[in-house]
Amino acid sequence: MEEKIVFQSVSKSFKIKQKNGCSILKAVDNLSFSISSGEILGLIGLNGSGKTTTIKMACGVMKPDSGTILIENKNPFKRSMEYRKKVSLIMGQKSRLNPDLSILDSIMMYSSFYSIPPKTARNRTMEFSAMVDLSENDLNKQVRKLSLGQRMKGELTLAFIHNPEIVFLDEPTLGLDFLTQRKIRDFIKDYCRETGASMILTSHYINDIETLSDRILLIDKGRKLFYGTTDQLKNLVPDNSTISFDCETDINSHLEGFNYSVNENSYILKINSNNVESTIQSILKNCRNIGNLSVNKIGLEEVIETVFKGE
Amino acid sequence: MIMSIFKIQYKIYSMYKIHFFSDFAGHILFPVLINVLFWKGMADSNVLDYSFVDLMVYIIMANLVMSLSQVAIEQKLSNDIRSYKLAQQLLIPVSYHKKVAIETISSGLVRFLFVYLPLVILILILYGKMNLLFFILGIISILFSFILNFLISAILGEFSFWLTEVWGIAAIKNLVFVVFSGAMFPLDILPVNILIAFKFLPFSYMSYVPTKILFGNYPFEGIFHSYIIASAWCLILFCIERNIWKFGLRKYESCGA
Repeated sequence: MEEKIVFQSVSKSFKIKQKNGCSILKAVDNLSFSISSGEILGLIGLNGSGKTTTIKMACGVMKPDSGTILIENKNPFKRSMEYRKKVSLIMGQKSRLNPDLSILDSIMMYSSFYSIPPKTARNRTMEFSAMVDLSENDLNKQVRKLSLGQRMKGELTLAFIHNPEIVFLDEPTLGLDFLTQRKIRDFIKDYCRETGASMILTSHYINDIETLSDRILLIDKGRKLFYGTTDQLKNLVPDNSTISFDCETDINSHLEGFNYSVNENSYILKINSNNVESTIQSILKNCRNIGNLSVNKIGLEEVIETVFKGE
Repeated sequence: MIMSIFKIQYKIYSMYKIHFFSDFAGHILFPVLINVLFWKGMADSNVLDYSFVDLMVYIIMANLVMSLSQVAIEQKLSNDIRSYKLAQQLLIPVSYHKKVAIETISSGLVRFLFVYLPLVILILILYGKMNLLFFILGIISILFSFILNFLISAILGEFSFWLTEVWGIAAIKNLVFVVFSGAMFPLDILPVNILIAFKFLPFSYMSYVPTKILFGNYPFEGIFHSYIIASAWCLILFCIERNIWKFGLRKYESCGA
């Protein structure tokens, strides 16, 4: 598949002024990744890990100290008109909507920047607003009278009005309730599937990343910790599944070599997902009156925590 | 696009009816009231070339001109630069400057058409000084005033590439403008040497000169002379602004704001 966004050995440092001179902070350190057409890359990192700097460099508003960044094989820092018409940068909490006007007013003004005829802009607005569950009444209300969720939905409608092919999403669901988060996630997913747009997404909500991303880039202090699919990330942790069950017989002797804990008759085993089947067979063979048997894969959040700890 | 921005600015302005009254009260009524009290005392006891009525009419008109051409985009630029918003604006297919300029002109034009123009015409008619030629020349002078204000305000706002806050500088700017532009008193009551010096600075072209031209109290050759000096200042400030923007953006692109 065609690679839309390419990062090759990109580094970026900042000079930090201190009382006794200056220190150098490496925000991004030798980072490489690529995003294909229609792919969503989830960027994960703790606060100050270099996510925002990476997004700023990717969209062409911050230059790297070294390395190469290409968007559709072109230098994004030239910010050509052709490039600007294809790109969109969305940040939760940083609204482009004018608080004194309605969402529709702002959308119509921004549409004129992209030379979108008013009728087309209106139709697209209606289409997108239906996808994010924003009523016509909300579209015509003064923005300052809308809830945070409604504003964010309006912001997304505005940001996608020109059908961007490359989208940078920085914390799009920040501060939103879970239902609104889900609506926004569905919208992003549908948009990407229908248009084949490529996206970089950062979010502190791991659910966003897990639901939306095709691949994940885990960074810490600007360095790449992991780059791959969600399943590959989960496989980094050996004991990535748990088997829980109640057993009346003492089977401790059969569980030697397993990572497990027991509380009265309740057992919890941590094992690799590849061994789930054989382990269950072994348990069933040795345990009489087994009850409440369940198998769970550990959440991405736990995996990420483990990766950060074991860095 | 221009019509679209103009419509938006009209909507923003008319969104709150209080804008019409706050513009009138804050920029015209209160400054004039303060001046009436002060200059009544001065004119009654002094040998100024202005009668009390002349002074009052001048001050009303000078404040109108000043308010009309006043641009306060420092805080907007500062907010955009200090936050992530500039990054977003740099990625839309319209130059940031062009967008800010059209927004400012549109909002100025809305205020001009709906508040200031009727008042300017009314004052000129009531004062018996309505002359179409001087009116047009005065409007041209106001245009220069607007450009000067815009450029100075933009320069101060762009200091945000290096400074955390610019409101202090903006407050000083407003004070300097009010005193040296001639909005508070006619500059020709000052000693001649100071007046001549003022003519080489940009401030008098923001209120004193346009007001005098509107009243037809400015000699023809002086009008064209004023256009030349104001144009020169526009050019100088434009070059300064472009360079500050260029260096500021370079800094923004290399290490943010």
